[in-house]
Amino acid sequence: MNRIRGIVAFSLTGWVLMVGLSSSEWVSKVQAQSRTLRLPATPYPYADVVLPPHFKVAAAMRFDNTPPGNPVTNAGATLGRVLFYDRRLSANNTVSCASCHVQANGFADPNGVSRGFAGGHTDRHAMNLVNLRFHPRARFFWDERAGNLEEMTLLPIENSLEMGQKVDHLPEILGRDPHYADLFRNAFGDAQITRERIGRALAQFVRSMLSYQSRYDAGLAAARSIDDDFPNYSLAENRGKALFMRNCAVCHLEGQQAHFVVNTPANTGLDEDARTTDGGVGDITLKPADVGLFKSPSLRNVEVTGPYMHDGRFGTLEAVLEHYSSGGKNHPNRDIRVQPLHFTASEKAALIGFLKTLTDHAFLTDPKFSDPFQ
Amino acid sequence: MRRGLLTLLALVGASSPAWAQNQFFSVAEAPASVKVSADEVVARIMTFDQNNDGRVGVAELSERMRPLVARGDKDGDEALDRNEVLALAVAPVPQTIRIFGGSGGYSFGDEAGLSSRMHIEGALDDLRLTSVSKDRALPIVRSYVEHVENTARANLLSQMETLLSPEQLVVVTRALDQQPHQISLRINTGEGQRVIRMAPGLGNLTRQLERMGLGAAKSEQARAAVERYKSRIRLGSEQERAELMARLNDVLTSEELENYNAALQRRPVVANQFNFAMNLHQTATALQEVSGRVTPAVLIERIERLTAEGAGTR
Repeated sequence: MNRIRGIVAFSLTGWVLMVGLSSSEWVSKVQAQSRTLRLPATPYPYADVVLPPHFKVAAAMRFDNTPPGNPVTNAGATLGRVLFYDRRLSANNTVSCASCHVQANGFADPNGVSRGFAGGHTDRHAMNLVNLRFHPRARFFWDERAGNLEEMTLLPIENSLEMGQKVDHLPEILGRDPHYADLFRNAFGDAQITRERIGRALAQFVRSMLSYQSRYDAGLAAARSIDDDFPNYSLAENRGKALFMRNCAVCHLEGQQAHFVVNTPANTGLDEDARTTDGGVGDITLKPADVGLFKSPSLRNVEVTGPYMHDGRFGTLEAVLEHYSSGGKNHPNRDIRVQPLHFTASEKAALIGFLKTLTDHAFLTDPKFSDPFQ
Repeated sequence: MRRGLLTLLALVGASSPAWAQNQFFSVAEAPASVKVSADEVVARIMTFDQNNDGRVGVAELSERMRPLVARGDKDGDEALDRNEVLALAVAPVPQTIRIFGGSGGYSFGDEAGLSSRMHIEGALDDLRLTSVSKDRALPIVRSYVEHVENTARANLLSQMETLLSPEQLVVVTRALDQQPHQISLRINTGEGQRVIRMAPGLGNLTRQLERMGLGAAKSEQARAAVERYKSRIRLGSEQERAELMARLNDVLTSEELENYNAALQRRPVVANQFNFAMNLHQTATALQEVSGRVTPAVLIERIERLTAEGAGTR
């Protein structure tokens, strides 16, 4: 029976009393304990979202990486949402997944690199989590080291720099909170908390993060085809769209009109030296052809997901366009698609204008993706 | 029977990208470039050897790279030495079948069949001119394309005259006649309308020349002449472009002129899917001539459905 009805509020105060804590640890413990969980009486609708037609054509749907054994359910994604925002998933209760994946920023980190639970900094930018359901290779992180979302969601928790928590300890930690029993029961049929279920619930929540209500989506629905001018666009935005389709779509919108993802990792000529700079996919596979290749996140909401690239080196869209305009550096594995484009100033402005039409304000403010703790 | 033929065509074209590039597609090779070697991978990994003991231990690697040790450690010392890293670097890569979208890589559009006319007129279209401006600009641009194509064609044929017999010259002339025409297919797929724009590529011409058995020296000269022709129709000469811009000066604003000039000099890259569809169209056209039943639209729609159902890009 679902005991989470109405506005369920419960205090975590008194959840645990620790002795011998340093002052900063004590503060963080209190902060974690004093947050109150608020969930709606009726779970938000995460499953069976009605997507627009350009998501539902076969060429776009084949990007869907939802595994048969873990479809998104309302209860599963609700549990995933609570876990995503729960700081108890870090070793000292200071950070949650949401600390580095901020909804207003398309679930990217507005900082170039992220600060971990103990104050250390990562060496890569926390990439956005927009439409991860629609990545056909179903490989995640900049270096594609995670083979599915269920695996991906657990790795930052255990990373010694990021959250520093042992996932195997979480059943005991979360089990002290009786409300998790309800959440797990609703999601999986019984109250048992396991590593696998934590990963599955987090993956459901992440997979439910779908952005499909941008001005681009409205324009495509109103136009005869993607090549025609969109009636809801300005002249400059339509010019930007035309430029994008001619020069950028071969990578970012290949074979479909919905996802704005690059199908395979690529070397975009960010660095010249193959020996000393971040090896990306090559550091995982050790294949020479993979050195310096990185996964590209979706361009949806790109206006707010900066800084950009795997190390957050570009602070603005203008800087990103400047990079592609120049053709990048001469890395031996640089992709053939990365060629000097020599955009003029007004072309860059038009392209950026178009890219900003990919911003989906409904997604960025949707309460079903927001922090349930208050 | 027809279903079987279509399926066969789809599978032949879609599942063998290497074969397809050599035999079915007219895709030029990407510019040769020096790739990262396995030795460089080894050198990179050994930079993590902080204590200089010739081995990279788990603690010396970044956290995300630590699974490498379990994968590559053959002597059980919980570290990777040079040989163990090299073994990982040269291990065969599992082959996957990829269909539409990254199937056979990418090519410059002009080398893969995107006609210069399509590029030059398309770049004008991208400016989103007012109808008045476009009505004035388009004839100028089309005239430019005609001039560039005719000049390039005349140059090519005059060079070929010295290399080919009259009969062979007729074959080349016929192949050249196919080049400038763009084909647009609007296909009702049941999920909306899909537009595929195609232009017969230079593959026909190149293949025709290869089949003529000209001998090494003449073949090389013919190949070079075709390359010059391709380069010329792609962009025109610098002087020709300057003349085009001068003629457009009264029609376009300075900003539009600057953007158009920049766009003309780009070489759009296309997925080999484009080339696949283009050759498919040629095949289907030939079939249609024979049977009168199979249309390009039917064939391409069928192929797209098959590949979508196959979901084979992983």
